[in-house]
Amino acid sequence: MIENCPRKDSAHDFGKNIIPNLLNEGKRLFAYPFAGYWKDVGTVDSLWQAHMDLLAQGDPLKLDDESWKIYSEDVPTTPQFIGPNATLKGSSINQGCVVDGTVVNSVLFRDVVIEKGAEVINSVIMPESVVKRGAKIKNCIVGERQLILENEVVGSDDKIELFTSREVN
Amino acid sequence: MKDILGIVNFEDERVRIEGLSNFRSIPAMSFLGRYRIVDFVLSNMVNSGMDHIKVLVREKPRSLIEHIGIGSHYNINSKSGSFQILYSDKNITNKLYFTDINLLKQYSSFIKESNQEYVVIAPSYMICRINYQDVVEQHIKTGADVTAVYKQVDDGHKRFIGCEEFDLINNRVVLMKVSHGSTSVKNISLETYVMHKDFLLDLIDEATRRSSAYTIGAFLANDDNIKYINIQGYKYEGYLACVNSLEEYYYTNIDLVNYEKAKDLFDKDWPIYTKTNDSPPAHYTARAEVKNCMVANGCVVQGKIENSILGRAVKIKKGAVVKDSVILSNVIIGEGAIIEKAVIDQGAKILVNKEIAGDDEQIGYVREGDTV
Repeated sequence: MIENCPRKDSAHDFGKNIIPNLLNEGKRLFAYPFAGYWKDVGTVDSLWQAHMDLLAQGDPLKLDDESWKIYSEDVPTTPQFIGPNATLKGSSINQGCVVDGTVVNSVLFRDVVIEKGAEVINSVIMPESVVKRGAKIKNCIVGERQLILENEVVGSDDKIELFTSREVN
Repeated sequence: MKDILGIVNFEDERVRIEGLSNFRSIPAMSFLGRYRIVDFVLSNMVNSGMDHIKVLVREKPRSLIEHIGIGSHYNINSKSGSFQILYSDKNITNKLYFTDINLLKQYSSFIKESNQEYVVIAPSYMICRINYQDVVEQHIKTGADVTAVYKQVDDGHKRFIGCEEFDLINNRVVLMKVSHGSTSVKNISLETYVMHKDFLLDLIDEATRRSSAYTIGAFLANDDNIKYINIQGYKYEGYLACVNSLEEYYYTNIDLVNYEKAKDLFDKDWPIYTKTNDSPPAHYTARAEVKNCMVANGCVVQGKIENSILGRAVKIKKGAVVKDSVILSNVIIGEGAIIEKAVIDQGAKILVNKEIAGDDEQIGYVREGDTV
């Protein structure tokens, strides 16, 4: 790495430069085959897909494994409330959420509010966002602290959309 | 803002939650899925700007100590603040003498040496959202010996049975007696007292001189004492529940499933702190049916749940139905099982197709770790 650092013709990348150089120099490199779930979540599409994989494949990361916890921020939220008008199917919902609408095949981060009559389908909603009555969200990632207005329609069947254009004030 | 010493009091003999308290003390009982009972009083103290807190422990300290630890998850400043768990190291065989006063007597030097002028003493099982600064402010203004917090309730004929109630004349407490539910409108004591540190120390000395069986509440309620101790009432108007029996534990949980009601207790600016454990979000499968529930993290719901509370990491298997019930953490409800109007204690396993149903007379109960 130190040798590679000053070279102007290098992208300083393990895959592109360092490992090929080692191979050229005849160093002994061995592969370790990894069989578990993995995904590079560097784009909106792949981040969305990873959430959908999680829902479709029945916990491929084994988040439920007490002996291999995934530690995270854990803030003092209120409990999760599921209201009398809610319909939940194939979804993961975090603490602090208040859901009285329909959530299908989606992931809700902490403190998300889904009001009565709102629909969230194949989507990922980040912390503290609010989806008002009658709004429809499909194939989206909604960013943190976003506001979806009453009866607003966000997302389509054709592509994955990222919604970050209206913050809750 | 006043610097106040907080003392979390333990429950006396009258408070007993059938079944649940065989395994753990009341402060350590799980509540509303993700909390323990003690979280509410500790959060009230911390949110009131109190950084010096002592928790009195009566018995079965293990699960309480595990939960509250050194208090860091309640945001108690570990350098400038202090957090102590006080338990008796005397072997007291007669339960009659296991009182808050006898325990405080053992630790009176700790109280004497504390820098706080005023003390708030509050039990864990009165679930409320109260700012103790307001109580202390009134206490200083009125010049009372003791300020005792109460709420005027209108459902005293069916709730708060066994709690203490006050008679007040010009806001002075002239009578404290146990409520038997005779009338609906009454002043229910939150068993929360504010007094000067020196007054508390005198009270401890005086009470122990006269009887080893006095509790703070009983000493204040004594017919003679109430005449010469100036006890002023502080009227609290927010949400209040007293979790002093299995029925009250059950109904308080179920009432708070109603989001509108729960808003009286929960407020974003008044967080309820608890020990968190990094469990994954609750997961609902394609066949799940969920109406009116409060669900903690780590749960997996494949069946139908209605008007119920699920603690952490509860598993509801396919075809199972849970209605009007309180399910504590790590419970497994097997395929096709039916649970109605019941409390299922921690870690119990309900087998396939089993039915457990309580009714208005008797709430169903399954013990900790049992397989039925």
